[in-house]
Amino acid sequence: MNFTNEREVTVRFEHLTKYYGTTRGIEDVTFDVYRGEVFGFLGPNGAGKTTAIRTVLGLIKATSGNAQILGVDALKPNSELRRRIGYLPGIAATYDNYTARGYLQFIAGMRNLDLSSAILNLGERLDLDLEQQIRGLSKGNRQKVSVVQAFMHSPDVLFLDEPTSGLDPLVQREFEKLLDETIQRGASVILSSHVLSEVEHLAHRIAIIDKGRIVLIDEIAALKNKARKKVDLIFDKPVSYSDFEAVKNIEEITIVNGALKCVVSGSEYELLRRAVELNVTEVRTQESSLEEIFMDFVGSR
Amino acid sequence: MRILFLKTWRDHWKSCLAWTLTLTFLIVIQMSIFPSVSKNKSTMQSFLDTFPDTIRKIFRMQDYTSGPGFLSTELYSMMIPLLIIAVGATWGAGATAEEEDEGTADLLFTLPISRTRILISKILATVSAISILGFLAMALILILRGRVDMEIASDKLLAATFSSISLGIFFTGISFVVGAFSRRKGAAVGVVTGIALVTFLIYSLSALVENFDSITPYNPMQWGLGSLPLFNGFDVPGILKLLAGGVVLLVMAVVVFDRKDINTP
Repeated sequence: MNFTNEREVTVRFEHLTKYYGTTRGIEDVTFDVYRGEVFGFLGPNGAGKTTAIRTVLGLIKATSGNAQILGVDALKPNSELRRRIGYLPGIAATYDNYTARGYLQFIAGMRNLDLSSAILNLGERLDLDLEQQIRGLSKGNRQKVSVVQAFMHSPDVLFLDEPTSGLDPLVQREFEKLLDETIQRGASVILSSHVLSEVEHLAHRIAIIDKGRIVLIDEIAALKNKARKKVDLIFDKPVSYSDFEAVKNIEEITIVNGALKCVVSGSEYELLRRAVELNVTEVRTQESSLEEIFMDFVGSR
Repeated sequence: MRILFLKTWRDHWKSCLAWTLTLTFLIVIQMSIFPSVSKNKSTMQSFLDTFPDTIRKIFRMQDYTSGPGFLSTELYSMMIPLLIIAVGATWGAGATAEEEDEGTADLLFTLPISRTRILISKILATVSAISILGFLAMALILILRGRVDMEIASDKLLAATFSSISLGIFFTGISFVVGAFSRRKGAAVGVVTGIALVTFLIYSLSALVENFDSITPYNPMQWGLGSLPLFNGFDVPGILKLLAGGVVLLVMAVVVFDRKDINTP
């Protein structure tokens, strides 16, 4: 699916920059998020993911740049806009002196909504004991409270900052179902994480941020196509380095016992055509994981 | 706003109950001592005369064996105002700094309610708490005055109550300003307590130290306590200065907080 053509933009970061005095927060962060997509926002710890999200939510003041959510200037306080936004903060702190239900009802009250049935429903789905005092809950169960809080009012735009930390695999699966339902009804989700594997099967597109700057924005599918692949080719007779000199898109060529080992970036067409000419008998490919791509981008900078 | 007002009370009800019990205990004890003071006026007075002049001046021990003199020295020149200030300081300094300290500010300030409204709800809760404590003290004294044969005019007691509450509102203003700048509740409470103690010390010593004369007119403790309202009734200029100062400080806190970057732990 192509997510960039004629899709409605719901969140727009435009050259968003935040400095804390002279310390860099984020610089020139620019990207769009579309209706009905999960947008993965990746970067190592301290790269600026949380700063970008907190800036667009008005918690910290931008040094320069603009941001729009649902077509409205997000950097100016706007209660109507905030009604349509859900947020799960990176530090998902809750009021410990409440029960889970009491806390969620307090947040619902602050939104001026009666969300009793949504709280009950989500609590059941995530296997959360709503009558427990939050003070006595485990880290995972506290995270469940925050997940319910973020989803319960069916927001049109949802910011989830490292949402799955502490959730067990069964709950993660339910969380993924929730995400799926959320985008099915046309909402947008910005999902931040420092672990690519966490978002690669959830997000349609990702942005990688490093040292405060966006270094890559792409669709997951396209990224996979661009991924470097390790290819081993075995032939019916030994080949030499010169047999492949003219082939495009290959590098790190080595000949081991008359077989070729190389790395392909992009299309494998030329390599395979040459291999057929040389009577290839076996082809072994090993795709780079997205994690490796991520590390390539982050590590090379 | 009502929901946040009630939440602020909910967060503090245990400490508020503790303050209430302390205040009640203090008043009951002091009132029960009064008969032994008033019935032995001459003995008491000669005993008081042995006190150094310095001590009598610092504690404004004027006509100690009378109802106003006794209440002024024992309760209204220090204990009740400082207790009210302590409640304002802890509620005010914690109003935003505690939310930032514990990380709950991040969600709170993205909810569809403005920072100003959030702060006003917490300010109103704090002012309601110190007002309740002030009037509770007054009610207890009114109930007990007959039992201990204390002559104290209701309007004078009301004047002292207003001065104490106004002093509390002024320091609540300071605590909200400090809280707005700070990100740590402990530090904010410390700063406000420090300001309260220094101003109180200067006020107390101003009766002795002439050098303090130039700053006395600007000391909020002087505005609240200096006119001895239990003897002289309402000190309207003093109360107005405290309330106006409190409002200015609270507005400043709202403005500062509205512009600040919300901190995380």
